[in-house]
Amino acid sequence: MNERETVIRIEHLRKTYGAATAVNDLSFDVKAGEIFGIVGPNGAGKTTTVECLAGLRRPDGGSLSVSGLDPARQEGQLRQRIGVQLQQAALPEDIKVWEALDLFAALYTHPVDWEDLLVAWGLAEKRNARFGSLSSGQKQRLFIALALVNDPELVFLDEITTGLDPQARRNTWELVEKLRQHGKTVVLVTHFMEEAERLCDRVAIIDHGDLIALDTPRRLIEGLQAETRVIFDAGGLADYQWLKDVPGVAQVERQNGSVVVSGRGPVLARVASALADRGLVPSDLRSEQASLEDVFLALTGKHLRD
Amino acid sequence: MKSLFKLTVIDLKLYLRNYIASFFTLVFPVLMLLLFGVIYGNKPVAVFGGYGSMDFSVPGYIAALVIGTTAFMSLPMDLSVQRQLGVLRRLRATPLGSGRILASKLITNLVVAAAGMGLLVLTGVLAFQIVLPVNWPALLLGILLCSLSMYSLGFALASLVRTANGVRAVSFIVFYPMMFLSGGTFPSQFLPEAVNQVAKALPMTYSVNLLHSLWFGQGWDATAILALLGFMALGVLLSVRFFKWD
Repeated sequence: MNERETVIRIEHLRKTYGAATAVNDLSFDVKAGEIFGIVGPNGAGKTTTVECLAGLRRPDGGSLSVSGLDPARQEGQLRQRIGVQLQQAALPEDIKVWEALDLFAALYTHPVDWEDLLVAWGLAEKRNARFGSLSSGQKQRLFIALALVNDPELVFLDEITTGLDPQARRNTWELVEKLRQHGKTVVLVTHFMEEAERLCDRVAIIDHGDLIALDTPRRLIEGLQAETRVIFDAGGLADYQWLKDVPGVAQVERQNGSVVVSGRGPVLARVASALADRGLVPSDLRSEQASLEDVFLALTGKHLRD
Repeated sequence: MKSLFKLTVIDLKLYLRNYIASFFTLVFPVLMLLLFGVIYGNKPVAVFGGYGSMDFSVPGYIAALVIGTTAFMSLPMDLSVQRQLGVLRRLRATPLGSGRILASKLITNLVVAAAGMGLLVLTGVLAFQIVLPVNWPALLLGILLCSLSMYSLGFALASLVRTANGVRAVSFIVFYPMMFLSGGTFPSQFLPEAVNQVAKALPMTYSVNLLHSLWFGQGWDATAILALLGFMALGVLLSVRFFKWD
């Protein structure tokens, strides 16, 4: 089996702010070329962890190795090699887009041509626009572009689609996937489950500074052994309890004018078939599967959006 | 070096794009000079030792309105706004390093102050034929000392007060009394003795005194120099102890 190189190693990371413990005893590895997700609710310690990895905060305990360097002692070298897009980061309101890219490119020994980044991230039209005049989607794209000026092997992205509309969000996801295609390792912090499921090869779930689970999104969800729910509009249908006899079905109930069938196995296919046999062909038949949100709920008893 | 240069150029551009800050440092002192010059003229008067009102005003305005506004208004405001927005934090994630980031702010303000002083002196010469200092090098050295001293107090201000709104409020409270009481705008000869006693506690008073004494060939004012060095040390200590990047 091909063991991929370890790019980040965290061992027993601990960070406190006064009396509050932000990160408790965190240990995990990140492998080269993967998109690694750190997910959890606000205040879980995700941003603190990334800041320690990027050399912006000193840990109170534990050891970190990022690209073979110690972020606390070798920050100068490390900063040349990584790209960071921080959560509450900003630029001065009056700086122009090209000026920001030009400035950042000048800070690194091996920058890429920032004109290419301008085009790649859809900012060519906004070259001369002031930062304050950009939409939040454009600002996010500029921050990601700035994180890439030095063509880093490792990129930290913290809540990059917060505040974006769904279309902008999807566009950003495509661009992040392109990063992996270019061989970069990405550490992605998000509280947005759909994003983690869509983008991440592996996901670390963090709550209150502790690591609760670490695996691929698929295995985490499968581990729930959760039921699939099949839903369709009841319409005028009064008799639907016979659906309980369909193999794999555990429960049939009515919720808000819809019939909800819960079960295991290929429930959608079987229910559709059973309905069709009786001449029933609902136009809105759909299934819902468990998500990482459900995984989080099962593990912590809380909803993510607390 | 290249990165410090680029950062400073950007900081300068941003300063000039901030119309309020630029107005206060570059335009306002000139307007004040023209206004009072029109009212009082520049004929020699005994109270100023044979110099005219405008002769006396220019070094005073340099200390109070140019060095004063950059040190106590634009420098702390810029630092605290950028800190609150997250700009400083973003810059620290780059290879720039803390030293260069702060040095850029310092140099930017010095450059803008130099421009402000140039405009004042030019206006004074063209409009009022003011007397120019005999010993330029000494004056420039004195200006540098005053600037560094006042700027370190400005850094201290941004270190002690956490929010941008707080810094704005405190900088007004700090700057305006000094502007009026230090002798830089209203000459101390015209202020009540009680006020002049109070002014001895104000940092700006010593800038004003030193620049007056150097401009008119009275040599180095030892009290002023000691006070300025003391304030500089205080400013540096407070900044090193309390400055936060976010």
